This record gives sequence, structure tokens and C-alpha cells, in this order.
Amino acid sequence: MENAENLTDEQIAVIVRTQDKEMYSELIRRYSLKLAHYLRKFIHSADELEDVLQNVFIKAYRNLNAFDSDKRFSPWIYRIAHNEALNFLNKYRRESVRIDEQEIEIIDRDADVKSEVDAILDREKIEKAFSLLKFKYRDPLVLFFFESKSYEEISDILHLPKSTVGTLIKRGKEKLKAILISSYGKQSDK
Amino acid sequence: MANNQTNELEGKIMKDIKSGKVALRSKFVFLLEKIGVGGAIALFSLMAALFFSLAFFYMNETDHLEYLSFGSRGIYAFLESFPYLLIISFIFIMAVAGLILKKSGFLYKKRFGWLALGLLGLIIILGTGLAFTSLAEKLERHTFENRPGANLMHPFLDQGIGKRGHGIAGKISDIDGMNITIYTPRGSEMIDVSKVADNKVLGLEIENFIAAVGAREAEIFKAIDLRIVDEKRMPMQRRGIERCLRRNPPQGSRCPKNPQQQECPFKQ
Repeated sequence: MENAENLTDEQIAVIVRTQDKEMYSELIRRYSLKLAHYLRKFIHSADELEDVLQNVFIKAYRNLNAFDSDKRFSPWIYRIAHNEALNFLNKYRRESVRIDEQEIEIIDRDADVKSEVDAILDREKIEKAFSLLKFKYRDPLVLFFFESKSYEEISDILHLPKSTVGTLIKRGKEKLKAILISSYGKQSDK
Repeated sequence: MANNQTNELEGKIMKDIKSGKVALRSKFVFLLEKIGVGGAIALFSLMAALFFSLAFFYMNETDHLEYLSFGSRGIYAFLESFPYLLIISFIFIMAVAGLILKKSGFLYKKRFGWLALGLLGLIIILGTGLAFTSLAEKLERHTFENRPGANLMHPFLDQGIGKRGHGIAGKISDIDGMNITIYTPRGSEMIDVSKVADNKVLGLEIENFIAAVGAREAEIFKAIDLRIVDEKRMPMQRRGIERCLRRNPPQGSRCPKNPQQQECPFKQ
């Protein structure tokens, strides 16, 4: 086995489909934490998340011949993860979002609602507000703020034009802010 | 996700891969999928172009647009003769082509709206081009001469020479006071012109091609307005009349009145 650490994801993908399928384990190692982190924005239960994650890697392997090695591997596998998450939510209709403590600070800072919200924005409140957002806004917001993906990468993952990604992120932030303010806004008369 | 969980996940997946339980899908499957999807888009686009060309052909070759020249009196006849089925079929086929395009992945990072407009434009150009070939006329002949497969096109083209409640067009075969007999693609029909202005009736002669608006009462069409038209403006009507006359040559100066007895090509 070549030294997989020195190879790019795209090179590994080509080797897996032409020579050495065991090298796929390197891709699993590289992406399992990242994709688990991403899927936690859709799937609450750890067991269900693991099942979905397993499906993602299996699907990615089975469809590896459809991957265009001239393009980047990361958006391609994120797209599979995104579709699997949506399939799971459609099947079980359980809409929930799981957010880390650090991610609450990102929301606090970027949604800019401190001056307008009475209560302390704890995790539960933000998770609830996020879960009220439509998918078309939630998906790009999650990828941009929590997965640190660029507009280009988000465009590749969600198969949307870059300009549309920017618009959805901007509107998503406004809607999230509106939800937080309407749910926890300051009383105007005291 | 902890490291041991990652290792466990990796172990499970690699076990299935090594055992062959999970295998790579052949690249030919993906190639066939692409060809299939591309072929479906092309097929539906061509069908849409064909239906567009048929609708264009219909509007140019039947009495449909002629009724607009009667102003508000011709509105009902215009609406009756409108090619609804052709237009609805065109829209439906376009929608299917658009849906396949949207679901196919061809739109990767592209705006659907612009591509859809582009596809529509291409179909309209192709359809318009087809309308100027003899394809639609051949289809019409094929349909009304009851050749194999004619049944498929009858619902779309029958309306072109069908009976209308508020409009009628044909070639004068007889003039008898205030009653005119005309040849139509369905056989002979009688028009009562007693309510039409004298200046429009006085100049009528046998062999004139006319269009009239009014209302049908039993087997007689009671016209309220009428005009002589160039039969080149209604070639579908003219061809329908010729077919009817070829099958049932007139005895004396009259075409048989009952289309059912005389096997007129147009079945009511």
C-alpha cells in the first residue's frame, strides 16, 4: 500500500477504483469525523447518526466510478451525506438540530441578536430556532458557519449557483434572527 | 465521534468491501444512465417541437384564425376551434422535459430558469422550422386517410375540420334564396343567410369559399355574418372537402347530405 497520507482524496479515489480497494479506509478515516459533525445538524440520535454515516460511506464506495476525479472529492461526499440526511428526515420525519457550545458563539456573533433578545441564548433555544428554518436556508447556513465551507464548496455540495448560495445564506441569517427575536425578544413595555 | 467509534465504523465498512458484499457499480451503468437521461430529454424535446409545429400548422391551415376577422361576433367560433389538446399536450411534454432536465444533474450549478428558457426557445425554433416543412401536412393526410397509426393523431387534428356550434366554413355548392348549401369536410351543410346583411349575400356565387359565424339550430346553420375567403387561407378545410368529394363524387351538383351513409373520411 502506498503511503496514503501523502495522497490527495482524489488520488486515493482513483487508486481505490482501479487498483487497491483497501485504500478506501484512508478516506473513511479522513471524513468520518467531519461528516459525523455535519450530520449532527440533522440527526439527534448517536445510533441513527452512525447508521446514516455508514450508509454514506457505502454509497460513496458503490458510486465511486461516478466521481469525476477532475473535481474535488470533498463536495462530492458531502453531497452524498446531505442526500442521506434528507432521506433519513423524510423517512422518519424527525427534524432536529444538534449544536456545539462553540457553535452557539458563532450564532450569537453572526445573527447579531444580543441587543434584541431578552433571554440568554442557550443551546436548546438555538437548536429549536435552527430546526424551525426551512432546509433551503438551514443547509447552506450549516455548511458555511459550522463546516467552514466556502461558497464555491457549498455550491458544489448543494448543486446551486454560487450567487444563489450567497442569497440563501443572507436570507437564512435574517430568518434565524427573526425567529430568535420573535421567540425570545425583549419586552417593549415594562 | 470518538476514535474507537471511527475505527469500528471503518472496520464494519471495510469488512463488507473486502468480502464483496459491497462492490463498485460498473462505470458502464453510469454511462447508460447518462445516455438514457440525455435520450429522454432529447425525445421529449423533439415531441414538444412536433406538437408546437402541429399547433402552428393548425392555426395557419384551418378556419380558426379567420373567425377573429368577424370581431366580437366570431369569438365563440374562435374559442370553439382553438387547438386546446395540441397546446395542452405541448405544455405537458415541455413540463416533462423540464422535470427530467431538473432531476438529471445536467443542471449542476446552473440556473434552471435560464436553461428552461433556452430549451423552450430551441423547441419553438425547431417547431417553427418543422411547421414550414411538409411534415404536418403529411401527418394530416396520414390521419384522415386512415393509414396505420392514424388513430393516434385523430384526437389532435379532428378539431381542425370538426363541426362548430358558432362557425362554419366551406365551398358553396348551391344557392337557393336565403339558403346556401356548402361542401365541408364533413359533407354538405345548409346555411340560412336571412339574417346576414344584403351586401354580403348578393355577391355570392357557386364555388366561392366562405366562412360564416352564427349558431347551429338542428341541421341548419343560422348565420349572422359571412364573408368570402380565399381558400388558400384554409387549406385544411379545402383538403377535407376534396377528400370528401373524391370518395363521394357529387351526383348532379349536390354532394350527399348524410356523411354516415357516404363514408366521409371524417367520423363524427
